[in-house]
Amino acid sequence: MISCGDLDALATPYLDGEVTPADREAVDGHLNACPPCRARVDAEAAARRLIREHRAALTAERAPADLRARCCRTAARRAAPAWRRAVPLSVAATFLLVAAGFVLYAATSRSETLLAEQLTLDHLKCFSLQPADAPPVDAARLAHTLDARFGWNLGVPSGGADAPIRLIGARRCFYADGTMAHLLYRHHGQPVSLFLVPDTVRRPRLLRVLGHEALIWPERNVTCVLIAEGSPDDVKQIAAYVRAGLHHP
Amino acid sequence: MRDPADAGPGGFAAEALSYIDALYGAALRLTRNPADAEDLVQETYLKAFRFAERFERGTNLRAWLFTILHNTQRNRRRDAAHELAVSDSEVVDRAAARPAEGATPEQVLLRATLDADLQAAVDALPAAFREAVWLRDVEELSYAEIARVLDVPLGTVMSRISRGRRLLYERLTARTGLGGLPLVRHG
Repeated sequence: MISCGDLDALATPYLDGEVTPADREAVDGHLNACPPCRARVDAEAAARRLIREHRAALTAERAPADLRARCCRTAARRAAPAWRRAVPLSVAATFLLVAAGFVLYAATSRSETLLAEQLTLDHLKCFSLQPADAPPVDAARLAHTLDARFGWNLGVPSGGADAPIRLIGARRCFYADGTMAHLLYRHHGQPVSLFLVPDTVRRPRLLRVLGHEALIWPERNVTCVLIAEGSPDDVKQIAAYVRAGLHHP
Repeated sequence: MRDPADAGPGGFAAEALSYIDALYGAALRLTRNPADAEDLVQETYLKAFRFAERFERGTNLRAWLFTILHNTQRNRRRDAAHELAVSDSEVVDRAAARPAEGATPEQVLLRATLDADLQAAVDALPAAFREAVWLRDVEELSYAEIARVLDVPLGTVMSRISRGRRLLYERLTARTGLGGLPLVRHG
């Protein structure tokens, strides 16, 4: 029979299931015969169980959004195989300028996952930089500009009074094969990005990347990528609205 | 329609970033203020991405990140000795003294505790004990992983977990006065 001193050393791994069957038996035997040790082990077991049962409440802390954005940028700088600085352009007021922004390298490779990740990082970055008092974007003018510059005959989902989404900004990103448009929306206050990538047609995909849903689908000669947090059903609903807006030149 | 993230660099970054909430929580516990916590998390990710090739694929990425975080914090606080309470044996031994009649230690404890009280009690533990208990009972790391995160021997890990849990019990049940009844009921 083991001593109380032995038991003290074994108690914690015993509770954590980290002892050999022989030791387990020895501990059980001692506990059955020794009330003080039984009390000591029960106290530790109770505290252990309490913490485990309250794990959700104990881990409720969320990292602040701007910290997330900064760490995502760190990842983008490290993960991107190549990048170029965005050249600030003096263009029509319909485009929101982001000075000295980093450019994302949107891979034209087969990997939609990589594309979705890169765009999600851009989504996080741009929204963290978005000024709260930015002037509203004129969707019709923007559509005209997109057509003039990209040759895209697409409407811009604008988000009127009853719309589920509201257009709050737009920018142009350079990437390896050219440029793409980034439209920033809010959906019940939450950021939603629509990227229009002049790229090869991709089949529709719904991916989960970096805690976000990314919906990718072809639209005429453009690949659309919708990035949002929320359930897949939420995102599909937003996408349905967006698609209707895109078809409305 | 769903697709797992690639196993390539994008996948590594995505998985690493998915632990940011846990890392921020750990940083808050270690630094006790949000600004320092943010710096610590950022520095952790900088190092993680810079030394990504040192991470052994297939091992626990979360544990690896915790190791970097704790290591970074230790390097910052070279004179942090006051946090380590090594000789708590008296307080801990009193935990073995018996509670209310008829109530098991578990019942006494569960009755006594609300979430906020538990959080406060955990926060009040000496840092060394708190981290060991947290890494085991909240983050569910193995003893070996905890030993690497805290940079202490395996025996020390178990000893700190043991004392941390029992100290927590002691403090929570001491609050309740007699018979496991809470002193204050909220709401």
